[in-house]
Amino acid sequence: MRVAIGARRSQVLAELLTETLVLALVGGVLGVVLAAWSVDTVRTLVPETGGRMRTQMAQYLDLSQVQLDVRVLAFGLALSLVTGLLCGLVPALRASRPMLADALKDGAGASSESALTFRRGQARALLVTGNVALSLLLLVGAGLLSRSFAKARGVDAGFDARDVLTFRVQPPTDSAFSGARASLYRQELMTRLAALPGVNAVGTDWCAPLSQGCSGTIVMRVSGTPLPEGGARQPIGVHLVNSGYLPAIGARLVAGRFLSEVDRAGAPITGVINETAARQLFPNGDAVGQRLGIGFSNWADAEIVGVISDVNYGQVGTPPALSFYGSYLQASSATGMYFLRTSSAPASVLAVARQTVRNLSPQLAIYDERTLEQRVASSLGRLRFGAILLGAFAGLGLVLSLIGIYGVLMYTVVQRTRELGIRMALGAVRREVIGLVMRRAMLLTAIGVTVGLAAAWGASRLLRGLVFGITTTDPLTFAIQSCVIVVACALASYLPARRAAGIDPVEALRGA
Amino acid sequence: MAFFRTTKRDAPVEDDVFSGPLVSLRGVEKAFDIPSGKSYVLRRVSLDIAPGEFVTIMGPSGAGKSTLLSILGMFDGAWQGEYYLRNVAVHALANKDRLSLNRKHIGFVFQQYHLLDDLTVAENLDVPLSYRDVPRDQRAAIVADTLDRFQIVGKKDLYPRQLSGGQQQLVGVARAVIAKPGLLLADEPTGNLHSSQARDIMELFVTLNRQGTTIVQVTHSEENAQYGSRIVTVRDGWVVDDVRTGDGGRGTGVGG
Ligand SMILES: Nc1ncnc2c1ncn2[C@@H]1O[C@H](COP(=O)(O)OP(=O)(O)OP(=O)(O)O)[C@@H](O)[C@H]1O
Ligand SMILES: [Mg+2]
Repeated sequence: MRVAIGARRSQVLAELLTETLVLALVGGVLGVVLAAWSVDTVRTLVPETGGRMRTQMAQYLDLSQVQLDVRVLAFGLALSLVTGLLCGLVPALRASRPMLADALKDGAGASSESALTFRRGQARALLVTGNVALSLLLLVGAGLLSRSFAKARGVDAGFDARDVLTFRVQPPTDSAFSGARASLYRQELMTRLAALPGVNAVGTDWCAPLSQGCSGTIVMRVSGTPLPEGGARQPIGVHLVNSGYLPAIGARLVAGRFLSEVDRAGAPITGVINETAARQLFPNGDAVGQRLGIGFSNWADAEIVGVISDVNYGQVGTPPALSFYGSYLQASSATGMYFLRTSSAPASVLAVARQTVRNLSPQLAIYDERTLEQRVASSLGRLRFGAILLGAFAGLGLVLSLIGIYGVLMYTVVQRTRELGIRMALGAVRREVIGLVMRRAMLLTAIGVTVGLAAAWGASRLLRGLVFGITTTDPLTFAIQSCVIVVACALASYLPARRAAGIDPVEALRGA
Repeated sequence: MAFFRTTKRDAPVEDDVFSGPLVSLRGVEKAFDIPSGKSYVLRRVSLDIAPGEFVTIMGPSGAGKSTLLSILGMFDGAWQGEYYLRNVAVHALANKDRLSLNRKHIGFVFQQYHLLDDLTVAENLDVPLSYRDVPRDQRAAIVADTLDRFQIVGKKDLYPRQLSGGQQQLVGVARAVIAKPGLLLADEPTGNLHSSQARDIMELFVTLNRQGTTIVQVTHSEENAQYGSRIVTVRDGWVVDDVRTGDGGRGTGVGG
């Protein structure tokens, strides 16, 4: 129309271009702000992992070093400008091309215009559909991870993480704490810790449950019979612990007894195994009283005195592995981690526990103090991290989809004011007008959901290592997230639909 | 006439009997708010239209003819006064109920045809039916029947832009009467047509009128006005004249 009232082509072009460029720039700046904010957030979300994991991870990706890079930002801004330029140029050129004869020809004017807007509208519709599909993809991913997270948190890992304080103690390397004296100071430390008020049990091991950082060996002989080399020699986790360890982490006794004070240096070599080991190594019955030899020289032929629940030392959700517990008093063993089962909140014991360590010797360093629950949580960190990150992106995608749906429909309603006016004049009531507009939105949404479901079906396989307790194509997650999208899009399209229903047919027909 | 065949089904279907005027306006006023106060477009319009009449509304541009027709057609809700359609007090109805009354009794023909560009001729004809409780299978039959009556079967799959102005208006009239309204309103239906196309449309109106459809048309053409039985003249929002043509009698309206 502006072409008709004598605006020069370059003017129209410049005007349309400025609009899109400004939009692109605003988008770019918003992007930078978002980037700055998300870098901070990502840093706080990085899963806490034990030392070994951390170094492993650092080899691939050091998230603590995540920061905004000026070059990346500049590139992003430039990209948004170029995109804006391209997006603006195409319709601007098209609109400025004089099609006056057509546009003004009575009666035909509306149709040639609608042909143009149809094409433009189609591009927008495609964008919205893609957006809906992408949002659904992210929502499904986030849903799978958060359901996994919930399941993993609820899963029984064979111990009770509540009210347990854990920390590590590092003796000086040379000194009076090495060799035979190592177990002496540890014994003394645990005696003192056990005497603290509010401490019910004190345990030591060299690693924590669910930490994926424990040692292992292989099974050498069962019931005194050496196993042949090869497949028959199963891997088995080895834990050199004190008598308080299993009660401290809340392991359940299944048969026999826990390790006790009698299992000391010089006494018969004994061991406790977990249920899975008992079932697999002694399939014909009671494991207690049987003999088991493992690849640790001191336990080449140990008597099994007890069977306990399957405590998981690996990743959440992995099937239980074989475990063996021997008394640390029957070996000279490495430095360790301490577990204090408390009768009140574990944090309240932390100060006195530190003091106790320092009182024993100022040379002992206490570090890595966390509750067992915190350790469990951080072992779930990857899941939580993934769920939150995907959730955030999904939320962002959803918001963009909603804005997109809203925008496309508003645009359509304005473009189709005349048509809607005619339909109302021909007898369409409010409900039918709203239906007409929303049907279009729901069509776009339905296509988006279909594409998104297909994409999610294919892509969720990538989450296989993280998804736990459900399949990567969990129908419930797919269904719920589809519903979320559909309901949200219906809400977003209701406003434009209401606006359409409010069109005054007299005005609409006069304006045409 | 070339493109209209008469069949038994053409008569409008009105389910109930009533006596008195089909349309009765009493002191209808319409004003727009403008910065300096109110701008009146219709002033105390009172008018009775009997069933079967063919009324022409005339008057200079800006007199308020289209406004009056919009009120009759119930697209316009913001006016004062009384309007009875078949003894139903329209002014007392909520907008929703007005719309359902419109659907039941009124067909509208526009000067600019106002066909839906994205729909074919047949689909355009189906639109009014889709907004009335006509079963889907019957709709197709009614559309086919109407295409046949208006002799535009050959055009049924064409889009409006593929038709001439006269053909488009033919479709416009067909669409207005497809749901068999008792009252056909037409705002300058021939305003965009050549005189021969205009004559065809007017003869079509006469035929519809003979079959029982009450018609109110707005026109600037004296020639078109002669097809009707009565001419109501509006000037500056006032009804200033109301005459019967043909049988020559002076107005029956309550004008002024
Ligand atoms: N939205 C509006 N605001 C203010 N005035 C309006 C509005 N719509 C219509 N009018 C005025 O109402 C008056 C009557 O308009 P209407 O369209 O009924 O005239 P008309 O008799 O149909 O004229 P024409 O023969 O040119 O079609 C005009 O003076 C017009 O300016
Ligand atoms: Mg007019």
